[in-house]
Amino acid sequence: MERLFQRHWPAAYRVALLIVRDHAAAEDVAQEAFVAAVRRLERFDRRRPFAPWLMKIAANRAIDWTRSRSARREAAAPTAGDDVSALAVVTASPPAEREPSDELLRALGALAPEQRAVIVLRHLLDYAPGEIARALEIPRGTVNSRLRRGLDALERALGAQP
Amino acid sequence: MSHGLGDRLRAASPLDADATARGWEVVRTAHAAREPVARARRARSTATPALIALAAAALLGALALTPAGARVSDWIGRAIDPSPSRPAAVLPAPGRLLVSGLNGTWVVGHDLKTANVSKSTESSWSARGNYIVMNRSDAILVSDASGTLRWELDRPQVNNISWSAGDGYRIAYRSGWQLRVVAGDGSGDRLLDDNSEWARPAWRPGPLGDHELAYARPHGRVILRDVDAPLFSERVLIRSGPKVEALAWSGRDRLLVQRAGALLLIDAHGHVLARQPKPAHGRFAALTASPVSHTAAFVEREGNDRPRIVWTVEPKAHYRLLRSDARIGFAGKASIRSLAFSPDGRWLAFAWPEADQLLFQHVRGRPRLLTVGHVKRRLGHVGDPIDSQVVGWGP
Repeated sequence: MERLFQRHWPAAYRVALLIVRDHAAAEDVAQEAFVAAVRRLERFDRRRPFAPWLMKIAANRAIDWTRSRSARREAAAPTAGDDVSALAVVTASPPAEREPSDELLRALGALAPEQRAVIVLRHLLDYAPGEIARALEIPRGTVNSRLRRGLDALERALGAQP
Repeated sequence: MSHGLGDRLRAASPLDADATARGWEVVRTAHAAREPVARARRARSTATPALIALAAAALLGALALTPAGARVSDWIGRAIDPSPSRPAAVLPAPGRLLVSGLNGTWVVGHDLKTANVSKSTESSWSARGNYIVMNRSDAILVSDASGTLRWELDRPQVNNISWSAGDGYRIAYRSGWQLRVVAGDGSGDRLLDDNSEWARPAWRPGPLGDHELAYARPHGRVILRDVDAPLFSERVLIRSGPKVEALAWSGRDRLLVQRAGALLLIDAHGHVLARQPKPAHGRFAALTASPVSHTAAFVEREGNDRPRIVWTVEPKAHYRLLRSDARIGFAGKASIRSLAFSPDGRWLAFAWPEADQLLFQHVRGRPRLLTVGHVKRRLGHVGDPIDSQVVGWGP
């Protein structure tokens, strides 16, 4: 198990981080993906490679997390009577030095999480479009279109940087 | 654009050694926890329907034959896997958590923002979640949720505080060996019993104006008493036995008693409805009950190096306590000393300090486990985080 963890944790963490763009959330997502995989190990066909299975879980959870955070931002509206909102917030965000500030990350952040996932799986992990389609359970044509649009948007965003 | 993108993505997502270490601890524990669950599932799968029916019909006889130390999974015939978990962006149910320990007392809001309210090591929500009662070595005090002090009363060695449900007009607490009761506004503090045992008193659910309290005395004695008529209302539920460690009402007419040797389910007259011996080399801990249903939860631990198992059970009737409506919500190496139900009774919260997480177990319906990570950072811990536990989930 330790070898499995050492081999696959870096990729799971990076996939999660590049999709959710938050170190704390990425750690949670990668942990949960691993734990889910461990708990389903007995049902896993061991003739198949472990990595795509794990990355499928990690990517889908990262997309879910990003969507739920967006939904929460839209729904959240502070209320005057909320006791906790009136309290001093001691700490709620990661230390500043760990915030992803790279321009590439900012450009990625402008994409939909589904586009981010496709780009990360394709260019970070070198998955073929067919493998991505199976991992994310979407048609291969959708993978290709998300890749194309995502890369075009990235190029525009990075080209516009001063 | 795609040329060299992989390298740039890699450079933009640096690994974090601390995150890796924490991740390994979580995964290692999850892997280690698979074994007892698998054993429980095998036991279930080999039991025929006829055997299960027999077990249900002859429950009390079976209890007498059950060797002390039998696994909980042997007596609760229906077990399920700990459910896969997901990170939570907010608390999964309305309300706020109360986290207490040697580092102080904290309120965790629905949006997971945290606020330190005091240095107290023990705390309890009021019935409507407007106030928090806390201890200090030489006082009992009540503040609002922002930490503003409302009143305090000088008392030595305050511990095991319990705020009544219903109208929320009474607070029971221990001061040394004494069991005392005070009104929610700090008035009318009085002695109820001068020889109580170290166990949190349990307010009996009931009509708004009722203030009946179950509490423990030395030598395993359990008393039920109306605190507003203490001289005339005492009812002895258990006359003697092993030391009582925790009490929790499962509805108005069933009291769960965690003792040194076993878990008991008794009725409001003290009749024992069911009994479960403790694990051979372990014990039960952290007994708690839902505020809105008959569901109860507790931790089973078997020695220091074995996983802890968090069970939820619905002891509606004696034959059901032991065989149905029970589930494992978590199994792993953990220091779990406190469990807290959400106000709607749908979720159970507890701390998993070894993984620096809070866990939320879905009690009914589809098994789900949600997590909130980075508790140390959220609470600004300066000491041992293992000490901090979820002690309440207020409205």
